[in-house]
Amino acid sequence: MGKDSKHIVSKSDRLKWQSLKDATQKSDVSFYINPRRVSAGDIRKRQDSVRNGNGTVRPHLLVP
Amino acid sequence: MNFNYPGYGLKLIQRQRCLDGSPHLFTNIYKYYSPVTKYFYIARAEYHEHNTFAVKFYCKKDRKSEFKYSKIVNRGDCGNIVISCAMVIPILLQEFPTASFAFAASRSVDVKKQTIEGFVRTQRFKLYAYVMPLKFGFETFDHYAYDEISCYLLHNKQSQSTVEEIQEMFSNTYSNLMDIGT
Repeated sequence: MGKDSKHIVSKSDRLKWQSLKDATQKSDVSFYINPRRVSAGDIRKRQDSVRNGNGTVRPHLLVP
Repeated sequence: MNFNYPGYGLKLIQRQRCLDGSPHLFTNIYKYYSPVTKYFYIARAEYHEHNTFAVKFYCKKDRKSEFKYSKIVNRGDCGNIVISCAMVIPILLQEFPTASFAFAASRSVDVKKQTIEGFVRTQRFKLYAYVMPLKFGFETFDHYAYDEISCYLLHNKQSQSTVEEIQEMFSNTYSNLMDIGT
C-alpha cells in the first residue's frame, strides 16, 4: 500500500499542516458548499482506468 | 490500482441506541482485526434520520484518545483496513435496502509533531474519493463529493429522502464536523 498510496496522495497535493496548539481553523460546516456529483461516466472511467499488469482489470464491486 | 483487497471479517459487537433527541438514532458497532498491523479496529455505522448511516472507523488502541479518528497508525495494510470498513455497507443494505451512507474524512493529527491537517480535501478524503467509485457502482447509489469539508455521500437511488434533506440533517447535527475529535 505504501508505494501505491503515492499515486493517490502526491506530495504536491498535500495541504499545509498547522500547529495543533495554534489550530484556530474552526469548521463552520455548511453541507451546501459545492457538492460535486460524481457522474456515472466518471465512475465508469475510474473503474476502467485501473490496470493490473496485462491490461484493464475491473475492480470487484462491493455494491453494483 | 484496482483496490481489490479482500478485507477482514467483521463482527457485530452491539447495536447502541442514541437517546439524545438528535437525528442520530442508533449505532451498529463492528470489530475487525488486521494480522499485518496486529491491531483491532472498530467500525461505527451511525444511523440517522432520512435512513442514512454515517460510517467511521478507528484503531481500537486509540479508543480513549480525543484524536482517535485522526491518528495515523502507520503500520501499513491501509487497503484491507479501509475495505473492511466499507464492507459494512453491503451488510447494512441487507437490512436497510434503501439506506444512504456518508463519510467524513478526518483531519490527520501528528501527535509527535503536534500538527494537524487543514480540513479541505484531507489525505483521507483523497483516498476515499478514489476508492468509492471503485467499490460502489452507480446502479445503487448516486455519488456526491464535498471537497471543502472532505465528505462523501452515497445517496441510495431508492431513498425517499432527497440529497438536500440529508445535507440539511447533517448540517444541523454536525455543525462542528471537522473540528478535532468529532
